Amino acid sequence: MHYVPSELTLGGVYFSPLLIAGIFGILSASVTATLLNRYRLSRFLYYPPIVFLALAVIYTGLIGTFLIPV
Amino acid sequence: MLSPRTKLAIKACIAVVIAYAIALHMDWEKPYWAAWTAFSIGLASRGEGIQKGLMRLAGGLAGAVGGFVLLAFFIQDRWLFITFLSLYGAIFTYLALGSKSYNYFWQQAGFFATVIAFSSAFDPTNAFEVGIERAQETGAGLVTYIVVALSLWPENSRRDLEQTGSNLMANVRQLWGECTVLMGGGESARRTHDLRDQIHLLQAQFGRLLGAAEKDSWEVAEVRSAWHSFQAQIAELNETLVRWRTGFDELHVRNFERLVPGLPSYLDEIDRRLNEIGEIITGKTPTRLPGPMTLELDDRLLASLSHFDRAALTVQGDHLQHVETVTRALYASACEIRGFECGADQPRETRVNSPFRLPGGRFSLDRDNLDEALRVAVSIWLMFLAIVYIPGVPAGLGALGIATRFAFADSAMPSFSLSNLFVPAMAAMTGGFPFYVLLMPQLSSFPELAVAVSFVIFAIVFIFHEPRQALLRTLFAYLFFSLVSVTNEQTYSFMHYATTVTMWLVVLTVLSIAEYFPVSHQPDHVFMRLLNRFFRSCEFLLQLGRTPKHEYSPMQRLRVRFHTYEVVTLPAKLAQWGRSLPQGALGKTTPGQVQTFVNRLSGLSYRMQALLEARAADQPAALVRELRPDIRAWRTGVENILQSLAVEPESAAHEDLKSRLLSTLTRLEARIEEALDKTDAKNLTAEESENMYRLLSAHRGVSESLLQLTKQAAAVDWGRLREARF
Repeated sequence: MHYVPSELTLGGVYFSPLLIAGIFGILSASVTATLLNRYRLSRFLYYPPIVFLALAVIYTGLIGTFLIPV
Repeated sequence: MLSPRTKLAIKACIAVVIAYAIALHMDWEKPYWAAWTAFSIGLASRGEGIQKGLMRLAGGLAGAVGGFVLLAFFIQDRWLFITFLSLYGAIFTYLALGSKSYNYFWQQAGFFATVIAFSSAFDPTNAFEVGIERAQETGAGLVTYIVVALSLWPENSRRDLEQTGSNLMANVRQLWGECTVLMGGGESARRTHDLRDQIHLLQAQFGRLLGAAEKDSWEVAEVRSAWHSFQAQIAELNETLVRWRTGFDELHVRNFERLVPGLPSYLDEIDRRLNEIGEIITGKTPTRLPGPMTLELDDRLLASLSHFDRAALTVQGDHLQHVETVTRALYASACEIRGFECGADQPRETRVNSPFRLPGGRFSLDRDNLDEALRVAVSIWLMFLAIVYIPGVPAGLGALGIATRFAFADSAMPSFSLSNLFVPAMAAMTGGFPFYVLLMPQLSSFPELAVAVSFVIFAIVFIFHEPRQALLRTLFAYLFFSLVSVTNEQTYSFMHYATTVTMWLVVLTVLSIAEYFPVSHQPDHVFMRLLNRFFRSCEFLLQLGRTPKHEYSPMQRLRVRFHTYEVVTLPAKLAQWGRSLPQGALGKTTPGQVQTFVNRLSGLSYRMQALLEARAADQPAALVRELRPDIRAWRTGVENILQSLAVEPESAAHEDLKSRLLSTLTRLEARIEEALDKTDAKNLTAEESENMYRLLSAHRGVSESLLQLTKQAAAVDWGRLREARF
């Protein structure tokens, strides 16, 4: 598959797609963490902060692959 | 008539505008340094502002020297440079956290080295100019603020200081009243820990105001040593009362009034003194001179008491006698402060005859401060690695400077998570957008800019005027100053705005990561970690037995110092972290139950301190020899309990412990009787006898406080607290 990086432009300023994907990745990981905390599912994890980091990376990768090509 | 918050906001506006005018007129490179200094120090009283401004100036100069040294040695190798810079940051964080009076100086000294280092990393020839400019601009901001504070609604801190001193005395008097009620076997009317929290708050406020009043009131500066004595004595009185209050469970002696015939008049006199001290501080003339008093015991009735009751009586007597000495000294200090001749011959140094000393010492290693220092170093490294390995990190080394500044500031509030700042930071940025992009380009002269800036500053100070909103006020103002970046050659670009916004996102993300790695700052993790350390330290100190201090190896001496410091300081830290526990970690436990548990820990801490003090005193050798096996058995039992509490605070069964304690006390009572028969009690001096009873009371105190602790531990949902969560 051939990706074309899609830079976002706002007021003439180009934003790196990785930055935008990263922001959405962290937001998605935060929502997931809140839900896991809410339903006490995080107790099955060994060290949740590492899981949060991993989730942020995974979400950023997914968003960067399917929504905002980086 | 203008309200205080309006006056404060007007003063802040005028100071900021004048500071900007001076900086722009002098064509300094970063006028916002002067404006920010005028704003940040202008939010306090005049004296506090001057004190803060001077520390900012001195810290900036010291930090500049640090920055020059780092540049001189390591500018050729960026890895060595960042290694030593982070080490420098960590050391200054530790020093800042360890200093009550010069905290802001150390923070500034640590932070400003990074300003010099990053501003000059690619052009070291500028380093000296950056340092000088910073000093100039800070000085301009400070002078501007002083002139504004002197010209507009001038007021000094003396009145506030006196009022706070009087309030403090009123609260201490309440605590005293509560102690006397409990001593007589009555019920406590008020929740003591509320009163203690209130006293701690007032003490902190008093310390702040004293520093300020020394700078802005010659009346206070003239008798500053008396004010400092007053501060130390009131702290000691409070400490004595709190210790006394926490030990009532095992210190309660039935028929105390009958045993001490002059007790009612003694208590009345102390109460009268406490009342009068508060009045003298606010200006009322003293009517009499308090003389020394002693507690006379009825020896006939004393002989009929059990040994444990006599031990409790000895400790009660110590407390009362110490309260008497401290209140007399306080009275003398209050008279000296107001210039009354009533206490020249009174004791000023209350420690001399005091059975207490504050353990810990100035140079004890604080592990939590070390954790914070490590966090600052890790924040610097993470930000640096992000800049080196991620292309196009917004603002580059400028972001590293901001991250370092925030890491320094956050180290003073370890239980506050920086992730809470995401929303306010974005709100401030959103609010700044129309000002920077739409309004500022329309301004064509300094008066127009001054009006616009004044409007924003007024709004920030007026809206966030409460002390608890200080962080938001600082954040909004800092973001505003850095976003508008007023200079003589002003340019406006959306790129600058977008870069600043993204830089803040990156900085806050990096700093949030440093809250989890390498040391987790999640309140539930920290709470459990501190608890474990507390029990381990208690266990270590118990293990030492009565080994004389001179027999300790240097390493053992250091360890004793460290663990004593831990036992003394950890309950206060646990109280702070306990308040930050999220609802998810509490489960069925209420915050009040956690605080009660922490109060029980404080009780154990005080009993451990009493034990260490009693052990250090001379004891009759023959008695010690006789009772050694029993005391050793007791110690081993308590050590085992502490070991299991360190791992599982809920592990000890309260009822079982209670029955074991009761049987131990009965056995010890009989053994003491036997031992005294064998050793001929008449040969014991009064001091040896008192020391023996103090030691006995301390042993019993540790057991009783453990018992109280285990009872309260059952109320906490430990399973929930230990659960892993984000």
